[in-house]
Amino acid sequence: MSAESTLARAGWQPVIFGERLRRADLLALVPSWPLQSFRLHVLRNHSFEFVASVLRPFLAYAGWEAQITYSDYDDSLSEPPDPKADVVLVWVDFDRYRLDGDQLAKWIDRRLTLLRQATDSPILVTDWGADGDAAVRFNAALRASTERLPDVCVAEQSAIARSLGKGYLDRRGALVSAMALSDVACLETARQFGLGVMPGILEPGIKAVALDFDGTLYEGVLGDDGPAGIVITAAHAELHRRLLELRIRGIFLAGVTHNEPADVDRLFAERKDFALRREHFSSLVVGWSPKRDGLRRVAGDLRIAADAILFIDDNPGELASAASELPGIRCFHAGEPSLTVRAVGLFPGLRRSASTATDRLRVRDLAAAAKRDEKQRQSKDPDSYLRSLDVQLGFAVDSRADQRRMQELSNKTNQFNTALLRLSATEVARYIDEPARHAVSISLRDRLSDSGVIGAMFTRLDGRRLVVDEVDISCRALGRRLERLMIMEAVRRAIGSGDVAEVAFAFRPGPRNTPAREWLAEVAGPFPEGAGSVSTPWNAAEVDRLLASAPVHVREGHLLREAA
Amino acid sequence: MTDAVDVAVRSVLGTVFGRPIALDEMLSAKTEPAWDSLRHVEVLLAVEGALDVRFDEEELAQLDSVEKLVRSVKRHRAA
Repeated sequence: MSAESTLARAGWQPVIFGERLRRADLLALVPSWPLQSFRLHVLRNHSFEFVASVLRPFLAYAGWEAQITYSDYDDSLSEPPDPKADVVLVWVDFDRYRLDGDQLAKWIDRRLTLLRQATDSPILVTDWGADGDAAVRFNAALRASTERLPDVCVAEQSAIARSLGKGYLDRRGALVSAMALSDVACLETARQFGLGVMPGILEPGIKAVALDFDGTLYEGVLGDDGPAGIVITAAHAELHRRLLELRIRGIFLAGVTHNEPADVDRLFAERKDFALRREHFSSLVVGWSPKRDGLRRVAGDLRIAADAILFIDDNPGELASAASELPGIRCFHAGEPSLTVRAVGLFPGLRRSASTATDRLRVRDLAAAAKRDEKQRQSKDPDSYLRSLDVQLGFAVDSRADQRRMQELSNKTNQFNTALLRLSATEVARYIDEPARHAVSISLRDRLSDSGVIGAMFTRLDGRRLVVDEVDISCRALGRRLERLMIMEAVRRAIGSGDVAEVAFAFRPGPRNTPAREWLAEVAGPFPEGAGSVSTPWNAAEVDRLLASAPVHVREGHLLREAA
Repeated sequence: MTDAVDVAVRSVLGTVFGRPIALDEMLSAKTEPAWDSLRHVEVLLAVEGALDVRFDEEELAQLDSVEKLVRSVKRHRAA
């Protein structure tokens, strides 16, 4: 996003993140930046139009525009979904049904199962926006259904209903429109959908929040006012608390501040009411170099791309500079602290349907990476280096428990991603379920950290040829010279007892997957330009020897993944 | 003399219909082709939010012109 677009978006913040949303203010917002389009199909039994009209500005803030198609008003939800839809929304007023909560749960489970079979697109279903016993039981059952079905998630109308209380419904509207939601409920629903839910489905999430200090995390200037002179208002304290919650969910916190290192040391030492401690920052750049350079350093320290960073600063000039120098970086202007608090909860890409064990492991794993790098520098022999780390690789074939993580790897991995297929949950499920296809997940642990599931391989059998449709390895697992071992063992497990003479790796070039290309060229020799595949004979005995002499331990399954 | 409520209501309607509404335009559901039943609800919700009023249930269907909207807003504010 350009500097101009970044500043224009910052101008929307008071409306988009305001405590009280106003329909007229939202309708007046017209984006001046390019948007990505997607098709949203709404299967419904009540009106969505009054959400849709104000969904537009929230989606635009997130960089998206929806082409919306609708079913008829249909309590049976039996219309087939638009086959071209990128997302299917099941927008249901459950108050309309004359079934008890348990009957309704069984019915919606069957409907969602059929719908899942009818479309490959992600499905979003609203829960029951009520708080009675029936609704609570129903919502729990609905959540269980969506956890069972791939790529189906819940939009929690019940949470909005709880926060608005009696203001959630407005029966006056039912007289002139097929809807009982109040205006404020429509506006809040649009905000949750446009900033949180839809971007969470459509794009990779933010992995780090990089924070300015002065004027952002407190009032005042540390260098002028000293640690005792800065003011941590109640809103700032709340901001700190929300940031720490993000960290617990697996989002890195980073600091990029124009200050003297000694002053920052004193801040951490002297202000015990400053809830963010030095150890909470996975990367901290203190000094007077341009912040864009500081942000580059943060990206390097965290091993992530700049487009996975949200930069929060009270200086619009710094935001503009970062936006123009670091393509894709997201920016938020820290003005009124209460807006920043709300943005930390709502900013597109920060909210995901669920934080995974891998998200939480990522933050712990990074601290170990620095020690690992030091060990590698000290070691003259790569094998002894790996042995000293006590590396353990775990493999699981067609593990349903790893389905979500494997899909995440296909969609988020950029450097070591051989085919950039960006598989949907349904497509991953096919690799797991179909006899001639396999999905192999790979986990990694060493004496310094547990990295969790860091690799996925998707294969299919074509006669005596195993076609590897895609290999994904997280950047957290690169640089240890383990790629060959991981991939060959994954291939061996995908083959199982099958009779395979050749392994073909599909490849599609992308802007960042040079590491995957170089590895394939090393394994399979001369490499075609553009998309295609490279093959190598399968010699099981040779691979067995390679693995037997490898300075790592290979295990069945990922027993260690959830270790604290 | 400029009527602040009239100006504010026209501003909201201009946002909903995507064009400026002049102070002398007698805008209504009869004169504005885009003022259909869905847009009518959008108008009511937008005016309520912008001017901090809550229309009565029985008048919702009747508020189909600038004039009626302005009159109702003033009545609610005076109440």
